[in-house]
Amino acid sequence: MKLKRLILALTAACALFAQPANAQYPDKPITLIVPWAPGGSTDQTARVLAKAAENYLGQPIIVVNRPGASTTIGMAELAKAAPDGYTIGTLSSTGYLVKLQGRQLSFDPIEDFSYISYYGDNLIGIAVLTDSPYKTLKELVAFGKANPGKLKYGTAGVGTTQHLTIEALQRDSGAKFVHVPQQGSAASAPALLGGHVDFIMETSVWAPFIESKQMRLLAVSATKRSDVYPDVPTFGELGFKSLRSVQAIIAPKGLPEEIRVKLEIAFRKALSDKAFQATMQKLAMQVVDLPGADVKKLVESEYALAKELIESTKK
Amino acid sequence: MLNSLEQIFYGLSLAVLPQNLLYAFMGCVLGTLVGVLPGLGPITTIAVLLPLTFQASDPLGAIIMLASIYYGAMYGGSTTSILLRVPGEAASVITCIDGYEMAKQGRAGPALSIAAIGSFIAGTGSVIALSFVGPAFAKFAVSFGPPEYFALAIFGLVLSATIGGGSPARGFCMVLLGILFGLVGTDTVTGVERFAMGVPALADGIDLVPLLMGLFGLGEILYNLEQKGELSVLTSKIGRLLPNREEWKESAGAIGRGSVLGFLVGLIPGGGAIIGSLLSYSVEKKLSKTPEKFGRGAIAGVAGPESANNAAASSSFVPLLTLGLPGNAVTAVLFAGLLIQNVQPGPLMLVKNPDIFWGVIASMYVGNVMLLILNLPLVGLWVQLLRVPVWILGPAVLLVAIFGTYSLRSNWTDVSLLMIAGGAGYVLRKAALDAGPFAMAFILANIMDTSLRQALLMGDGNIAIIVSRPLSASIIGVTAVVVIYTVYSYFKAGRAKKYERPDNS
Amino acid sequence: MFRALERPVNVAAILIAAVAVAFGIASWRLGFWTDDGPGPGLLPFVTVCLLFPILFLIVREKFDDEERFKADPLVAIIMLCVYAATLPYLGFLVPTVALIVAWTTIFERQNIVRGIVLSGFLVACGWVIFVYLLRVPMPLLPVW
Repeated sequence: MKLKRLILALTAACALFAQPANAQYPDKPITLIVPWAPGGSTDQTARVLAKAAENYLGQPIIVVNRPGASTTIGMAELAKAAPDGYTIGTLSSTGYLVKLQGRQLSFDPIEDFSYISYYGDNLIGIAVLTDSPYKTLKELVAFGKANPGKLKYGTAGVGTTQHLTIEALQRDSGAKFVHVPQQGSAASAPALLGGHVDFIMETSVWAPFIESKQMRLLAVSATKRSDVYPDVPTFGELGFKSLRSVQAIIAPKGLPEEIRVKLEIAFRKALSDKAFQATMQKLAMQVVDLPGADVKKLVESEYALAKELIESTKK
Repeated sequence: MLNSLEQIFYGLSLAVLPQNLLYAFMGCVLGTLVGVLPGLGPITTIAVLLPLTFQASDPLGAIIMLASIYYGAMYGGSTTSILLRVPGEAASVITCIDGYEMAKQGRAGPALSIAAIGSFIAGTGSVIALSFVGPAFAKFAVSFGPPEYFALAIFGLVLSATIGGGSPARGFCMVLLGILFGLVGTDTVTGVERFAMGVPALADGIDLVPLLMGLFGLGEILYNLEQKGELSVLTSKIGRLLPNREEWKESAGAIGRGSVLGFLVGLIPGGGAIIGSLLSYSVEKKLSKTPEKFGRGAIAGVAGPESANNAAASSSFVPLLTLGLPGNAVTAVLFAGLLIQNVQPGPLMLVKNPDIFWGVIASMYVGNVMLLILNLPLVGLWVQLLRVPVWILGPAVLLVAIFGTYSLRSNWTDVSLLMIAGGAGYVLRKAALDAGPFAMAFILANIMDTSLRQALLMGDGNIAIIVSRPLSASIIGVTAVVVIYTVYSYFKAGRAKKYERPDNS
Repeated sequence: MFRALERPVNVAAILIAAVAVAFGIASWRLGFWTDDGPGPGLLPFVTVCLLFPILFLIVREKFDDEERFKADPLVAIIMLCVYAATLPYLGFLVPTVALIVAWTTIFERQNIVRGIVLSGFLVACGWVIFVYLLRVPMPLLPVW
């Protein structure tokens, strides 16, 4: 057993430095399960990324959409698939956040997967209408502190990254806002435009309205400032915590390390693809490169933070 | 005004380019086909074609094709509703009620023709409205917040109870049942799963397509099994293809009102074609001098809703193109299609991509004409379907329903759901309980529940928010008038009055 | 007792009542009220409460031309449910062919040759439309 592991580790190490000559894998097309409906940001980016990764794998990657039940339908299918490297999938934060909602899942959203690579973060930000009196996040928080429960905000739903980040903001600043959950990100923009909520915390649905000067972006939750909105501060700069909106490539648990490394190399090389980067830019998403092992650590720490937040709001 | 005209001509000059005409034509044919095939809706088709548009070098052509699939499906959706009582497309559920009755009376031809003609008038009318005043209506679309949605849903539910031909108690019972099933799935406001029993396929709610196809289509097939040819639509004579003078007169008003209603409802995100056709049907029934004909083959009950769903399909492009807000599942996929083509739908689309904006709108004029030319001659062909022997037609519809259901989400649960809904459809039909009100309540239930609780959150727990906003207050007012009028006429007509069966088949 | 079951409306009412009770219990568990307002169980529970008196009214309504259940459709419903239950294990091809052959011979009183020809033709058409043209991944054969 030990010997086997050693050999595996050795092959993996070799694979890291030189692509092995005995390239049996992949000898047939690879299926990539996207647990979202066609056309969404994950679908669009994953398709372009897969196209780019094909060049390094020498086999086509077929994208199949398995949407529904907050990605858990597609995730369950992926968890059940054979760990042979011919079925891989995308991971979004939603996939592990639903577990915190108390939903019964047929799989463990973190432990039942092997982590291949990371590819980016969705840009999430706080937007208000242009004629709103709040010019900065600080002013918004100050008002929320002085007038608890007065301001209403919209997000894509309960327990989403967007919602939890505002929960963290309220907890750390002492401000109190009222959450009006919307039916998905797309519904948040009209809720703000129509004045039905005072601000929204959303993925890039506000982008066209920032451009048309109908909305103003107060802060983004990202590790660094966005290239598209260099003037908008991040939550971190302002001293607030934020959750990340993870986009990663995963496979079923038990994927042989040798195959995992091959996939990791291909998908990480694909990050430099022009078309992929253009698509990410268009969706205001940030390209992030992380090795597979670090992806799991990131997901675990994000999960722990989200759990802590949810528990603190329940009290 | 002059400016708009200029821009429409600019758009037309793009839309009539040979390759764009070809795209529009392909889209129309494909749309009609998927509309006709039960279970296959525009969503599946556009979603299947979407990845192909990644490679398209011509953004306008790709978008024109996707859009024309959408309104083509609205034309085609009525066909099987009328001939087989299988809604070819969710928005054509209402058409099943009177359209199928007409077919049983040998009036399938006029029903199909009026559906096509009504769709053409409504489609063209909406595009005209869209080109001249579309952007102005964008404000109306976002003014709809939770209180307004709640008011609209309540209004719709009240109307649903009256759409069947049965007694008010039966309509009301089916509405309540529809509400229960409509609430299955994740609750938006608390994030809790309701009644899903841990089945992943139910976490987003019961899928509309297997439910409708089961209740209406399979239910009808099962019901026909015991009829053994007598009284069934399949033995009735085919008759005329075009409406006669009287039918024209009955339909004209319905088409006009259906178009306006459909246009307005289509503007609201989340409104859409189904609610438009429901409203139109109820309005026609209320305005009709012979309301007792509804449910027994009233042509206005086909003309109105079919016009409304086409008008709504066209006007849902207003929030999509001017605000970047996809109002329903189909426009959401179209939205993605535009993004893929590097076109950002939204407030700046008119400035940044005027060619796409006006090209798509102009192609809708062209598409409507194409669809009318395509669909009217097809009426003659479709009615021939009725000549196909029962023993072939039954299994054929069954198979399309099964494959269509599976193709939507590749999910076995949905196929089981189709079968259960089919069995329920048969039992309900035997018990003279109408599936129409059920379907409507099913669609409206979640809107009502979610928007009420969202409105309460907005209003700090005070329900006054619903009556203090002008738009929602007026909808609630109209609803109250309808309720009072219905109760009044119920008592005036005498409670002893016997209600006949919803369909006397 | 069994006489009452001859009226389809009674059967429907019993089924609806059973469903309503299930919904009622589940909505009770969901909770009627939260800190922020009405809970997820409130509306369904109210709906269930309204449903019972209505059912009572419906059962009392009488028509002259009330229908009776017949055997064929009930057998067909059972067949369809069995079909749906076997699909995940056997794939589409075998159960579908069997279903259509059984359907045409039992209910439509056609001979078996016609049934086989029809099922072959229909499944082929379905395959062309859904699998070939629309590229829907449909498991036609058993999973193993």
